[in-house]
Amino acid sequence: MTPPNKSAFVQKLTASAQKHAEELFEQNERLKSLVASLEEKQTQISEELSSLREERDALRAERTKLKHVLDEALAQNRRDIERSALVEQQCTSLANLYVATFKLHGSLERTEVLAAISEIVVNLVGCENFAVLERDGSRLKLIGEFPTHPSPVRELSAEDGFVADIFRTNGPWVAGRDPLPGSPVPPEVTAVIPLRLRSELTGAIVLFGLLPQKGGSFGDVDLELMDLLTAHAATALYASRSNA
Amino acid sequence: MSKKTLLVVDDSPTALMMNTMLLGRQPYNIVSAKDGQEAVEKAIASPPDLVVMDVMMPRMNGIEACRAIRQHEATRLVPVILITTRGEEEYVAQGFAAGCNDYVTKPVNATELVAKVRALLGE
Repeated sequence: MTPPNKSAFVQKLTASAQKHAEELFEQNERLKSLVASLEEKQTQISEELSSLREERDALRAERTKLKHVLDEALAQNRRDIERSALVEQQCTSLANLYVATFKLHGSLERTEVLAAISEIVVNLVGCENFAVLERDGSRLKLIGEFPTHPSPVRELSAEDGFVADIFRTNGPWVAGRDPLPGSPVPPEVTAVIPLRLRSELTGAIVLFGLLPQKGGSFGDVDLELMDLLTAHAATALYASRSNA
Repeated sequence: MSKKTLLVVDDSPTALMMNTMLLGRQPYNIVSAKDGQEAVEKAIASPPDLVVMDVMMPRMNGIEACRAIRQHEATRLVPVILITTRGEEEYVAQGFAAGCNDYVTKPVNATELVAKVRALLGE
């Protein structure tokens, strides 16, 4: 016969095990519910993630498209800036030529014409060391120079020598750019602008070096100014001489 | 908004005409003077927003005129750009010592001059 205390112990143990089993069952139910909830949430998050990925891909495509548009706009902007600079440069060149022509033909007074030629050479071409020579018979004689830089050339032949050679080639001559004329050119000569009236050599502007900031070279506008001086300085000097 | 006024100073009529044309293409009123003395008188009588002035001029050169502009109460803050024939340090240093704000060298590069004018006018 089982002692009464042993039976009670078994009963108690059984009850405890049952209670524990019930708790485990409840816990299991809760976990099942939690798993179901998490699974549902996972599905939802997966859907959201998928949607976000689609959105991200769309944004990436949009970004690529916008970058392309931006690159195009930047390229166009660069082209516009270059074009604007070119137009600005052309306007400045035209202004230079206009001012030079206006000043050359703005007076019949010899001193004013000479001053205009000097100012054009100094302020527009950028040279302070030059000689303005005018034809007197078979000679070219000095009639203008920059006050602080006496010209190393006072007189030249109008019929032979480098100025006459350059005149026969029809245009201004720039050292280093144009072929050397037949006659020797003094090394200090940077450019020669023969002055032409009809088909005659009436004078010359000889440049000896440029202002340091010019970097020793002539720009397009300088060459255009030289072309302009070839014809217009000759006419202006001739008119002023006739008026004297 | 009213246009800003620039005082352009040069004894060379050719350079004065050229600089007036270059700056006149911008939205500014241009007042001109043919030497430093006239420039100082005009600046004091009616202070401009900026002065663009040649250095080598008769009566009063650009350095002296710049100094005079700096010394007068009405014009001491007016920006001055000097136009120098030579860009060497000693010439530039003289200009800055006289109170100029900036300088350009001849022959004047229009883009450079306009950029410096705009910068000094805060545009």
